[in-house]
Amino acid sequence: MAQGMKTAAPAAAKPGLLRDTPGAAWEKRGNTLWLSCSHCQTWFPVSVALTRPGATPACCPQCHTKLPLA
Amino acid sequence: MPLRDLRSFLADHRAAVWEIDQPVGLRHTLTALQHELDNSGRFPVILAKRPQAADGSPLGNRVVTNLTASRELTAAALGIPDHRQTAFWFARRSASGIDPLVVKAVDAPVQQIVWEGEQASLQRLPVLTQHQLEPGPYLTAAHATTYDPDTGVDNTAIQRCWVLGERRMTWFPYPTTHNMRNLRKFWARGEPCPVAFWIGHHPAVLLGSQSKLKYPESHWRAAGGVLGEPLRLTPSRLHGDKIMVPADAEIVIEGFSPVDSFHADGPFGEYTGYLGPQVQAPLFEVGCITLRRDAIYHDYGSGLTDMLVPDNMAMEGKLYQMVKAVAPSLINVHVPTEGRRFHAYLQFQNPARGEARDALAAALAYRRVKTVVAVDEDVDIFAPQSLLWAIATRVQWSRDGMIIDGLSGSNLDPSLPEGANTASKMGIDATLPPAPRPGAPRAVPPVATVPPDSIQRARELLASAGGESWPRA
Repeated sequence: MAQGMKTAAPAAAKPGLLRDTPGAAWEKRGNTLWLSCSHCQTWFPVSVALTRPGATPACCPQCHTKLPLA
Repeated sequence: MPLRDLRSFLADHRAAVWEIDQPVGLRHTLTALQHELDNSGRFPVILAKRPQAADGSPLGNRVVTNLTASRELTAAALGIPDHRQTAFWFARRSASGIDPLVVKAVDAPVQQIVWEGEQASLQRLPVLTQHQLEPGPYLTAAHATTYDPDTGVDNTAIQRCWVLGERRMTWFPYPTTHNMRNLRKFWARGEPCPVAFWIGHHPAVLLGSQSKLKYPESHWRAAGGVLGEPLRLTPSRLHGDKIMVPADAEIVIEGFSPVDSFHADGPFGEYTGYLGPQVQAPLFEVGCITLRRDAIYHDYGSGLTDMLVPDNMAMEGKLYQMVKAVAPSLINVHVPTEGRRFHAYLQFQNPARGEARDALAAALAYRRVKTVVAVDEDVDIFAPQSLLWAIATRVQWSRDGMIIDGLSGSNLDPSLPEGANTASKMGIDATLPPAPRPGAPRAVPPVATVPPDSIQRARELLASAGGESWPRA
């Protein structure tokens, strides 16, 4: 999917967050956490560190909306 | 539609032909030119107008070599608009053959001149000695046509021939080939095996006649399918309609392989880039040679791109057929010359989980293929830097490497352990994991890109900049 692509916000474990589903050890799984901006629906990758207590809010690279994940 | 033959091809692509007017030696020099061109990434067709024998004496016929060194030109010969579409095109076209058309000898240019008896000397032909350690001049583009004495069905394959004397040469059908089966059947009956070797034709005929077929099955239909029109055939002079030959070929050498007669053959430069060892090969005795007026002798640079390009393109078609059957998301295949015939790259569009590995296993079943890499559609399988980037960034070896021992392989692979009859092969899954669900991004980092309008502006700036003196590396 191209960067900055907008889609309907998916259902996820945490609001706006998407991570790969678990599976067998021999199957390829992605390692990247994606966030969908609640304001403009732009998807972008975020570090898991931003989800930890006390972390700074994420910032949408498109509209610069602050997105607290902690 | 005008006849399509070697001459029409050369005339249609004059800009791609390097005509050499000065004398050029047949012993090593023409082949050295091909090595130099390959190394510099240039692929003209070479037409040597004044070939010279080893003793410096001129030979009457022109030599064409490097005919199929260019992928772009070879694709154009086949009518493929873009060489990157070869796999799909070849898979479709070679499956739909066209029956040949038989013409009388009087309408067959290849029988305009007939050398018989003392005249029928192989040493009148401008045959090259290509590499050091090869024992003498070799026919490298001689298509050997034999037939099955049980069914009468003919078979055609390129087989190298060492010219031993005026009317004597070896020819080397590998033991498992269909020509060797035909030869053995004749010999088992106590009869010499009739053979006709034809040389020089349109590249589409050369590629089509190399199609991999079941036994016994004639190659003429497949050649017509690739050519896109019926291949014109005529009865050979010695063997009549039992062995037909292409009417628009340049040269035909007819004769017999005497019962149980062998001779040492090689060492000889192979597609691996190494010399294959000396082997035992059947002998062949010349009965007659027929030629077109002003015949052009065709030579393949053995182990060079000249020989790799057409065979690898045909392999792409075959692999596409094999893999598509188990992996519907396959969109393209490339067998790169830098991997000789041992590497294959498979490209997919959104493969389902497990599909890339199914495809790797299927492709590894192809005898010559030793390493297969599966990638996504954003990776250019014709650009090594793109493919290596995918391997570098999308592979964890314990998870994505697949090594299978004991599969059929090429016994010319220089890395095989002594005595090995099978090979150890590897598949590499360099695709990205599928998205967790439809419409969501794959759970991997996005590729760093710039927008299309910025690329367009950058291209405009570069076009106006010149930059011929900028560093290349």
